[in-house]
Amino acid sequence: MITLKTQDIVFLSIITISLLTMFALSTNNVIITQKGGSITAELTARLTASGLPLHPAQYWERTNE
Amino acid sequence: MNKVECTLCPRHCKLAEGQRGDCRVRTNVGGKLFSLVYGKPCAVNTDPIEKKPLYHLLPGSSAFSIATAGCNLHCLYCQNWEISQSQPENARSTPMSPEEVVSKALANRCRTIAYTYSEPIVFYEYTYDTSKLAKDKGLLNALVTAGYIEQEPLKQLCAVTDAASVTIKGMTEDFYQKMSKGTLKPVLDCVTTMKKMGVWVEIINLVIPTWNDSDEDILALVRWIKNYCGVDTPLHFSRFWPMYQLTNLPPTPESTLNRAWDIAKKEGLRFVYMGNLPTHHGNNTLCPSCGKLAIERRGYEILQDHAPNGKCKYCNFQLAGVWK
Repeated sequence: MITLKTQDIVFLSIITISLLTMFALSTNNVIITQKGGSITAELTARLTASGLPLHPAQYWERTNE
Repeated sequence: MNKVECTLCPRHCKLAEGQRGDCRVRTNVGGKLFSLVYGKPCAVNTDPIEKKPLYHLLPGSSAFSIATAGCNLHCLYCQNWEISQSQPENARSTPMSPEEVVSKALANRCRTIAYTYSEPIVFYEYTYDTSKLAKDKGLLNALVTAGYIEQEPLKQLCAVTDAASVTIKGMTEDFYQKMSKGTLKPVLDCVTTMKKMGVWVEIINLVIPTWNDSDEDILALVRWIKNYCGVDTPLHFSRFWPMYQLTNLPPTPESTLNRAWDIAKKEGLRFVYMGNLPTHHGNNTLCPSCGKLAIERRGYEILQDHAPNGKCKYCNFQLAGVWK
């Protein structure tokens, strides 16, 4: 029979929270913009699904960066 | 790959698939750039034109005023931060096509459509399409803007714009960087291009205690206006009120605004006004020729108009502006 001490529970909790955070960040596709903004592809997908119209914008170009 | 670069404003945001620009309202979908706020105003009102403030554009008339979410600057003092700094999906909006905007403006007996409150540059396509339609129907178009835009799109917009109130927030790059996360030069270039292209321009300067209220700050602004825009360009000094991320500062003392007004008049600017001080004499227009009271205002209200169609009734001097 394994008995967990308080410090074991704390240690395991920290490990679990860290792993969950890393998982959430990796699946959420967070992109930190060059200018410091933060946005997710998921957010834009939700927005598109929500019915907000997408209207073609002027003044942009493709970039290979 | 599939990245796009937005070339509308000086930020030139490079956006990967699904990513939005710094303004929050332009996004890359499938390798193309789209606006998320076209036809989705989150603020629609009929305002006195004096609220913009545009004191030399059809005084006493109404402006049909629209705004969407988003802004390409991030001013610490922003008065409309709930919409300017929000994602479009978080700002309650109403669908309204450019045709509907124009017909509502006409129905509300407005002479002008004002693109205002947040930043018309970030809802560029909506502003442009609406302006074109409005012009065809005999309405004027007025931008209320911080002028943070690239030259090419600006020139296209100027072709359908009659007037603009442009905020010059300070006269140093350091100020723009710290206060708004922007740069000064594109704003000054915007103003000079507007003037060259025949847009009626009035300049706004929010006087913020300890940030841009020294004699040197004010003199730099006034001299730039005098040299690059001319003495007939109205300058509105506006009183700062603690808001958003600058609640630690006091409101601008009236004495500071009086000092700014004195400096501008001494330098020869003909039309210097006070904003956010409704009963101050600095709301009135004086005839530059005879010195008499041409238009008396209290806040956004016209109390006396002695210059119908911009012509001083005492000396027949024609005031600069758009009067009919």
